[in-house]
Amino acid sequence: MKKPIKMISFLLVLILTVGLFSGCTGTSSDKTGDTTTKVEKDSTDKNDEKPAESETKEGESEAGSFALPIVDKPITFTYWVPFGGTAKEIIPDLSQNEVYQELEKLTNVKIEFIHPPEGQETEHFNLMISSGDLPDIIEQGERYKGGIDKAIADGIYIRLNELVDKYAPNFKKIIESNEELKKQVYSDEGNLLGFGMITSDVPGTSLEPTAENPWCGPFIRKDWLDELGMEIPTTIDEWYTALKAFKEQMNAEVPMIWNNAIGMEPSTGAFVSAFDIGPGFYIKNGEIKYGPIEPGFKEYLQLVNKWYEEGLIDRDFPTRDAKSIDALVMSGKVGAKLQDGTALVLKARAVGIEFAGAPYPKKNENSEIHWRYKNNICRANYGVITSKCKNPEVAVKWFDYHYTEDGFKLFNFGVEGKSYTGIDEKGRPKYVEYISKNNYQDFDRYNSVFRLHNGPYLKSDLRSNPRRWMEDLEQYRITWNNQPADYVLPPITLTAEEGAEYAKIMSDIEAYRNEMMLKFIMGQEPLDKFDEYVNNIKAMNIDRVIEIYKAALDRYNKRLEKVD
Amino acid sequence: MTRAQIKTDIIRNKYIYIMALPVIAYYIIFHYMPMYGAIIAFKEFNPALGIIRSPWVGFKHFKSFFEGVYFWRLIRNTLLISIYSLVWGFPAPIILALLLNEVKNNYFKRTVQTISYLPHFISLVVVCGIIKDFTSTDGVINDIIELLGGERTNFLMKPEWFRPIYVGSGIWQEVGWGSIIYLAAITNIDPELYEAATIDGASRWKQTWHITLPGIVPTIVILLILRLGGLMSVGFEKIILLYNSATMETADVISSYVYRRGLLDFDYSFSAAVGLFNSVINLILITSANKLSRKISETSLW
Amino acid sequence: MVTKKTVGERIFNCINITFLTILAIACLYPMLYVLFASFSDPIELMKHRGLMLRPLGFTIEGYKLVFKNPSITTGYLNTLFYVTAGTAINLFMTSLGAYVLSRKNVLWKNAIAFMITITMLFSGGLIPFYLLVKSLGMVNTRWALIIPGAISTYNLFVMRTSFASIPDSLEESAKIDGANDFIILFRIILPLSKAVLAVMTLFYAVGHWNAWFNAMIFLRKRELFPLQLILREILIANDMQSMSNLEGLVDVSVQANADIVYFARLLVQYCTIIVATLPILFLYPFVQKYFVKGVMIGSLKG
Repeated sequence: MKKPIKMISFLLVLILTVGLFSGCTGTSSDKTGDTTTKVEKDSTDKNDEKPAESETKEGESEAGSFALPIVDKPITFTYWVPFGGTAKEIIPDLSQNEVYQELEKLTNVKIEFIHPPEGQETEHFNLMISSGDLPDIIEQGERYKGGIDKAIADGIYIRLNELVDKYAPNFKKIIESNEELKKQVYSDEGNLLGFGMITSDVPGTSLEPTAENPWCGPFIRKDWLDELGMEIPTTIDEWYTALKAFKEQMNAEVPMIWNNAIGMEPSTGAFVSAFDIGPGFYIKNGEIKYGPIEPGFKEYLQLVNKWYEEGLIDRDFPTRDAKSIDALVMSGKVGAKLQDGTALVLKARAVGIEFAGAPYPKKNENSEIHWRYKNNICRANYGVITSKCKNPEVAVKWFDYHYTEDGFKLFNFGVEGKSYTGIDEKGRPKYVEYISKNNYQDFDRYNSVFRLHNGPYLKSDLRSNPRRWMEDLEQYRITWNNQPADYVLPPITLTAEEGAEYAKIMSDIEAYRNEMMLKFIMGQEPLDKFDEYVNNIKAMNIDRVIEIYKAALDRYNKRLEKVD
Repeated sequence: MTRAQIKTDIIRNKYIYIMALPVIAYYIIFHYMPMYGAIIAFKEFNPALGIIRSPWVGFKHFKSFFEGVYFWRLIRNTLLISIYSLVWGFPAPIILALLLNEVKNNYFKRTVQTISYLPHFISLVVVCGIIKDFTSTDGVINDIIELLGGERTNFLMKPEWFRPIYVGSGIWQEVGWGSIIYLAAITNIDPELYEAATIDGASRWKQTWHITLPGIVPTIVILLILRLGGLMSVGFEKIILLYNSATMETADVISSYVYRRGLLDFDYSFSAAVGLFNSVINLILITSANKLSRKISETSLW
Repeated sequence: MVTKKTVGERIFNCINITFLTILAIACLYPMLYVLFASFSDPIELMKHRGLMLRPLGFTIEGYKLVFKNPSITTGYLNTLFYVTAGTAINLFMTSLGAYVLSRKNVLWKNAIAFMITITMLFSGGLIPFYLLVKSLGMVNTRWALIIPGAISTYNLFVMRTSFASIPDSLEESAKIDGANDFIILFRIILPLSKAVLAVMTLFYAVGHWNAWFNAMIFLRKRELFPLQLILREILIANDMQSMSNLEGLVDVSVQANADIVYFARLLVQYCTIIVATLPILFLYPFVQKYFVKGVMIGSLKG
């Protein structure tokens, strides 16, 4: 009965819809037409200005064995990469970055950048994949859920192994030069993950890949130690003496501050590692273990519970956020801090408070730690090529240039003659006055304008970043780096199914662990209950996660078998 | 109604149906057409395949959510925070509007109105920063407590304080903004009613109780029903800015759980499943509330 | 109207005014805090805990950082466009919908209202929504920020409630005079609903003013960005916490003066609130004008 009327109303709706559609698209396309031409004009204007200064350099930059330009006729790739930070105050996108401009001149490859909105990278990435609007190249290809193997299996990325063998000898040489690195850049299936950000933290001119020195570790008030006539503590007992002295003699309101609600130092594990465990999952004698259920963790809790009751640890640590930590440290009420890098140390230095880096404390003189913060040689950031790319071999050649000696200088130091005038004996660039005078202070902002901060190239932060030229701070990093890290897990990857199962189990376990840990430390639960706590975590199926990790580790260890 | 009757009604009142068309079209295009996306809750989302072609997994994600150790705690906390917000937070703007209505000095009235809606414009991060600052052991509130002879405590480390702080700060931030609707509704009340009441010698209290309040009841009822339809939706932003492991037992809600789990491994399908679960509960609540309201008062959404 | 005040009323007045004054102070504080913080010496601010009753030192470096961004002006202009055009479309569409739903004897009225309510509870998620807007050709156009949000269901119901409170007699007499529904809505209902129109204008305008999410998802061209998106960029760029390896202070002891410039990043989160909020605050007085009690219906009847 009612059907015809429904039909009529639906038809009317449809007509109206079509009307709306055509109305919108009509006007909008006019607008887009307008604006695009404007953009083009802008960019041509800018290009007109630039060549004058850089033409002179083209003769200078010898590309070595690398045949330039890569293509005779200019070719354009679309390139997805997150970009932002303070650099955006100077350049709106990476096409204005001096490295990429120079690269275009050298290679004849033009890059059209697509930048996701800041803070919305994941959504943008997923939208891009699921709407099928693929660019030619994606940087940070590891964002693909389920991993790069899955992206290749799904037909989104292309497999690079054969193309690299053929067209990227410079890149191949670097990844072949280090067994540890080689494991990191291949997947469990033996696929090359992509053109990663490979680090080199050695002084001089070598292109040898190495891991970067750790960024974080324990820091302690050096000026107070000096005043008290004490040395930098290296064992738990020495730390206790120092913190006690800070509290009693220096009137430290908070002898030691902790960064977050978790109650231990998840990223640095500074005190946990003294008890022959790691803060989370770690590997001991080839076996995967979960630190918070090991006997060593009980000892750790006993220690910090005692320290907490004696007022050596921040009373309010569960509610501490970065802002209030800053406030306390800067007002000189804090004796030691465990997390984050040197940023706060430098802020404090600005108001005359001096922190020194201390090694991860040992249980006693004769013991050793086995876990500390550790960087990988390849810090992901994989440049990958999608199935939409029509000239993958050109893209691979283009990437290969990033890993040549000239590419190294270009990406790390910028354009010679423009941003730097030569290289000193430590392998550091002599930045032009404009950069050193005005922009060391605010290096972050300028960092991605004349050089590239993060990206697919052989990166030497130690040589290129003036922040790393402060010898004392660098020394702390070296101290941490010299401590053993044999319990640290390599960068294993979980499959999509494993990842989902892991998240399901661990979100409960972590919540429980954090709540209990807090109660143990603050004395709300007696440590007699530790066994009960361990049993509960086991009942929540921690063994399954350990199994998952074990399988992933086995696959990781067998990676190279699949490559050759 | 017969077909013929419908036909004549549509022809006679054609203008109102023409007016309805763009509105219905809008809802169909922008709300109903994308709604197929909800099926991803029953699938394993694969970005390469898209929503339609991703494989079906049935109730896997729902089960995964229900089986969580803390499932009931999450439900309890979500509902309690929502109900407290409703009980304390819903009447607050009504009371404020009525109190403002009693102020005879126009200048004072406007100033208070303007100021009271300011906090609405301040981002949650800053508001929560202020809350943390005030409630910390060395914060202002503890200064006052110590002055009165009490002992200092860190309120945000006490599970029993989490809900009062959450709800109280919510009222503080939104009461002025929320009162605007009621202030507008009050202006619609026929002034003759007040005049008549004054002549009858009714006190101001009586006028408020018998004229102003009944005059805004339809608005109150509609907003209340809408509010009940959001009972399961407690946003995660403010929760994660204020909670910590010490207060999880009262503070952890569904959305903050999904957020934390997403940090370990973001699963589009899983969060869609939880969202769908919440929506279904909300639908049940809003439908019942609507039914009840239609019986008791004359106002209802449909 | 003015009658002798009883003792009880006097006491009530005193309490009422005191209470509202305290509330106003409590609500004013966060905005003042933000204002003071935005001008404070960043290092002093970093050390500061507790109440802030005046700026700590004085600097405008934070504002310099905000206005350094060349897109701020276009952002303001774009936002102005989105607010005006968007609110106009919102008001038109919402009025139509509210009118249809507030009339008696509209066929399937309850079904339509129910269908609309459903959209508040269920959605298909971001991906289908994006694909829809893309297929309509709105991605990267201004329309993407205006059309998909043409009606807020919450506001629609608020407006409907207000329309429904207008006596039917007016409509009926107009109908007898031969007026059609368009004339009734635009000549009778809307002029009588200035207060609710004012509230809707405020709600929609503030909504457009604060919106950034759709812009972020749908716009790629910077010259179309609204102010909030640009401010968000500035905020993220200057977020000290997110700059993980911020070891930029070379020779900090020598360049003592440069510290303020450097640390001024801390101020940005406060400055952006001021920059983003001040203009929209001026809208309120215009809206308030329409909150004068009972003017509309009274005048019409008189």
